[in-house]
Amino acid sequence: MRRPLELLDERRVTLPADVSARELLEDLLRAGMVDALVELDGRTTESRFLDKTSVLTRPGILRRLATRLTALIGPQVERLAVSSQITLALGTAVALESGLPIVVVSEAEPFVSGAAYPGEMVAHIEDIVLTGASALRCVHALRTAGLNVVQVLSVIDRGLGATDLRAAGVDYAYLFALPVIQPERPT
Amino acid sequence: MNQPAVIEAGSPARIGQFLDEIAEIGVNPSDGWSRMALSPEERTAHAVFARWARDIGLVVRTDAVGNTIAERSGEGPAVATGSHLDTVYQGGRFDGVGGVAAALEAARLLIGAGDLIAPLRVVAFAAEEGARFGVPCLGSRTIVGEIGPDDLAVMRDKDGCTAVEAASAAGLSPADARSCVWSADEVAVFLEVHIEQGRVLEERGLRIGVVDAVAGSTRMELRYVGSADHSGATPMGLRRDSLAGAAELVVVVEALALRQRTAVATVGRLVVEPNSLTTIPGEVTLSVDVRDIDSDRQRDLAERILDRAHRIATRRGLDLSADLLSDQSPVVLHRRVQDVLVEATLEHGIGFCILPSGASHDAQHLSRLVPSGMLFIPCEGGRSHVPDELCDIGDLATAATIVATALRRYAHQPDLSSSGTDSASTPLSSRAADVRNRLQAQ
Repeated sequence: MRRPLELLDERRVTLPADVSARELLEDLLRAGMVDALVELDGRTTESRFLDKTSVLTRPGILRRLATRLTALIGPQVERLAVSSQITLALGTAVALESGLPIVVVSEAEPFVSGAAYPGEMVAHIEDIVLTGASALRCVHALRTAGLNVVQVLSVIDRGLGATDLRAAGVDYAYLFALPVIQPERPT
Repeated sequence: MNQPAVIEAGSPARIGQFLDEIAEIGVNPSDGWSRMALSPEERTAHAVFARWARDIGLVVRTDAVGNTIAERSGEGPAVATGSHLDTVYQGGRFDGVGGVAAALEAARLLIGAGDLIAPLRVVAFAAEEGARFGVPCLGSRTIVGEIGPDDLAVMRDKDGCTAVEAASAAGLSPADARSCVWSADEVAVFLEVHIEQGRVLEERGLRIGVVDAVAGSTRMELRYVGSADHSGATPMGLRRDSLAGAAELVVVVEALALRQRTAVATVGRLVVEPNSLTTIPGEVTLSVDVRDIDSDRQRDLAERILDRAHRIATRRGLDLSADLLSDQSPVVLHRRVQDVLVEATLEHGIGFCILPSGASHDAQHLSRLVPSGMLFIPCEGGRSHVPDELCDIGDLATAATIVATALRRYAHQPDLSSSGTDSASTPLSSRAADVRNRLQAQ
């Protein structure tokens, strides 16, 4: 196990990105999976539920998600947007990591709260994108408020909504693709 | 599913008896207990464990690297518990051993309940302590496939003996280490009881802690080389004092760790050459142990320490080299298992708190393969890895009762013990398969 370290190397003890991403996903699933029957989109149910509150209230996970989401933000983005309360924790973490300001979006008037100005380039942040419907509603709300939504970022993509999002003219990127949420052992 | 309350209270007397028997092995009246990893003393302790396990009706086998696995057959994936029997140099009576004692007692209680259908597995892991070979948890990491024969062949103790040589001398067959690997679907849950080795529970007056995450560790060895010159004849401006540089780094390590609430960093070993009153220290070797429950921050802190070490060396005209000794990632333990442990604790009316573990444990590695959880009990003054390590045997009995209750809950509820989409034998997993099919159809 002992190995010499090259002192002038850029990464001496830092894990390779793929290894640390896998660890993050494992931690996320271990922290978040609970037993509950949930309805996903009106048609399908699952017996395991990823409790995002349990995940996004843990700084050790939140911080690592924020670092990796920040790496996905396009160079043109000037502002971040989030919708619900718990996603605000994620958005705040990404704002702290990236230094970009944030706005909270809602589906009804006045659509945005925060100092957002028409024409700003915005990346909207989601925790889990299932069908993409709620993300799309946020994109429309932001656009109604005059903002230029160029990107949607999510932690987990469930594989049902990416096409719709891209059809709406936004660049969509996510950290983890999980069509089926495995109990504790991501494949 | 209805469950009558048939788990009896754990017996402190039986636990005490097991602890007493193990305490006769590797004991030195003045220096505590030394049952080093893969030593004859560790193997003797495993033999005692095997006898106790057989006495409660378990079938015992030892795998190629010395993990002793005691089982009772049943249907479906097993419920499992255990800990380790080796110690550090001059260690205490309860670290690891307490968890094995609680595991044996929990197994006895579960069998006594008379309605266990799932297989039961009680494990004494080999070589948990990193004190001998510099790498901790050799047994459990072999079980999850993280360590293989090649790794064991290059780890050496302070006398130059490799882990392979030590294991072979103990009658084990480390070349077959790959045969020790468990498959993910053979075990539904693993629980480990351990002394806290800190003071959180004692300070809060609690008898039980439920662990939610286990810190990782990045361990490095740094060597500063300067000039071993005459301490009288060499003016201050002409010196290359390696100890002064190392001392500066020790303070830097402390200051950097203090900035992160969840991190700890320690320089625990300092070897000064020539270590003479009248010679400027020519060479200093120091160890740095960095721990955190956030994988990124653990490595970032280690990187920052290396940067600062390098800066100190450059400014002082010292040569610096560094080795990575070991590197383990922290893990978040399964919240579902944590919830079951909390329910079992509440069921017995016992106060508890949720806390992270700063020390590494076998459960941390098992959690990569099997849903895993840990219970802590307090140890007096937080003292551990020392001969006067002390815990209340009544707390171990309480922990055994909670473990038995939680394992029984797992064994009786297919929704909990099912590995979900891996198996089609339970209503739950068929529902999951149904969801998957429908998702694929869309």
